[in-house]
Amino acid sequence: MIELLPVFMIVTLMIFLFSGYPVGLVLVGVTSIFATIAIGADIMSVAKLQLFAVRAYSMLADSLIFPAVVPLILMGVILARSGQIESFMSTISNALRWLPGSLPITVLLVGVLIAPSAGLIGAAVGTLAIATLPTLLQQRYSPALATGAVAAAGTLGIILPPAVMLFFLADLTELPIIEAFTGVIYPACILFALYVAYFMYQSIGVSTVLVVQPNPERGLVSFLRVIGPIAVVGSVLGSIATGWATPTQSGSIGAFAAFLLMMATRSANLNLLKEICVETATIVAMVFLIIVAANAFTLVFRILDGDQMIENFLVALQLGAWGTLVFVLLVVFVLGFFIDWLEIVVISLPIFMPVIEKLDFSAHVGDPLMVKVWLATLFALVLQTSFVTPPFGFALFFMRGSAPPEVTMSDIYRGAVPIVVLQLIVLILVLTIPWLATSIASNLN
Amino acid sequence: MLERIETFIRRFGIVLACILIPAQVLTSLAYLTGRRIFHFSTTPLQELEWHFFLALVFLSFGAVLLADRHVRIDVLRQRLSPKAKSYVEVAGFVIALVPFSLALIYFGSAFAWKAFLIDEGSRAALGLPHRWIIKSMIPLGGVLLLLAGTITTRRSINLIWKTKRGHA
Repeated sequence: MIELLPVFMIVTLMIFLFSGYPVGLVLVGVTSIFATIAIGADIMSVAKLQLFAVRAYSMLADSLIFPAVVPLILMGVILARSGQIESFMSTISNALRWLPGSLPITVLLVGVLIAPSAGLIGAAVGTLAIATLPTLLQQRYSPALATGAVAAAGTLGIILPPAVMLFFLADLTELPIIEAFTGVIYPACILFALYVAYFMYQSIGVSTVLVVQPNPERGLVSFLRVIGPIAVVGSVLGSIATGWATPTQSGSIGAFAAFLLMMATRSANLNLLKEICVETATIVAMVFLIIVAANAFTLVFRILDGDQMIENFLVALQLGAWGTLVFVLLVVFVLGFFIDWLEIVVISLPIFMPVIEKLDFSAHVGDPLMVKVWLATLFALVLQTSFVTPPFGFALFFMRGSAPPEVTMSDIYRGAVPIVVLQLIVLILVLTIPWLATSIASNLN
Repeated sequence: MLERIETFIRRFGIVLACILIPAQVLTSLAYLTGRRIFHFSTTPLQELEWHFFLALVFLSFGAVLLADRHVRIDVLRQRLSPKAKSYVEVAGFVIALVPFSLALIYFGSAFAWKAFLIDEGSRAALGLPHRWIIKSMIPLGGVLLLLAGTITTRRSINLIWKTKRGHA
């Protein structure tokens, strides 16, 4: 019985998660139940509980990556709240209007800019749906194509540097942040090209009504509206990639640049600034409650020898290196139907990583660091696909929640299928040709 | 009394966000400009950056709970009646929120107290002194979370009572 405790722990967690009680608190609730059982059964000493506070503190205080989440989210909130998305979108779509599928392509560009700092996939897709769906529908794109564009843009955004998700993936796979960034660049570019081709092909027949965009400004302001957000996100990437600043400092540069842009393009009042700070603090608290809680969960799970058990289980399956990897990716994929990337990354990676790290992919990929880059990229790609896979895909429900009422769930499903197919193509490409993920990183080293 | 505590936690959360977030960004930028432009590196500034971050994280749990913004998995919850939701909230309070807050308070204050007794400072030679200050944010955050949880749970209990009386 006792040796089965880790299994019960995971099953209990899965059941309680669906109670709808806050995820972070469910994690600590399950943890405290099983810690009590473990202490009662003399597997764990009471003194071990002290580790909980010590680890929560040192995890946050010693991390070079976690503090960077605050300025990055702040940057995203400033860009979203100060109307930058809308003006960026109208200016770009005006410039691209000669192109078939110009508007879905514009939405992709918006997603690339806004989603990395939006944090969770739910927030990214929700923000994009609210900001872009009405315009897409107004221009007579079919609801399926319109929601497909939002799904593509939101999921592309969460894997593109400087996506917050990559920071956590890097932290948990013990990968330097720059390597984690470089892994997804080629796959994301291929995805982007595939999406653009798909949207253009789908839009050739669509007679877009040119809604006259209220775009009276010319020259400097219009220029600032396009270049501004690009420069803001670019400043973060540039300062991290060149090693000029730490992740936190780069994020701060981005947040400050976004702030300057907001001051330059609109009259900001104190109330808006207050709202921006409160929204940022809210997202930060949401994210880190789960981080602190997941840390307590893995602590007790390890004390119960759960990690050993998972390892024995995966070894006993005798799937070989490839089989085990595909199995783990499938588990992550299924988890992505129900929970956001943050929970998946912080709960499943500490459990699976020790096993995966022992698998031998050196013949296929190269040295251990490159294997890690490849694995992190695979995780990112699997997560983005699972979020938009019908019928459960986590992000699809957020889309329904933020979409105008005339968009039905089956529209959303029909729009998502081609996007999922394109993502799977890229996933298989990266699985078979690891070079796509590792080439930039191996040139760096 | 609880209403006053609620307004206090909410306001405290807002004030905190408006101070700590700009403070973290600005210290981070100040440290960067100092190091890169004036070639002048100060360990205290660098440590102050994550002090702000840590304080923000632990002290915001409670305010975010009051605003009901913590991440939930909504798939099944959407179908529950308000009463069933309230039962979940009460059960969660007892099983999860209270033990977690108490753990933050008890182990956090032991942790901070130990740091206070030896007057623990930074491991870096010129770092910030008095680690107990930042460490005591952990129990303080626990207190705020427990208070916020008590307030929201009392609301759930009221709702359960009201529906019971409605049926009688």
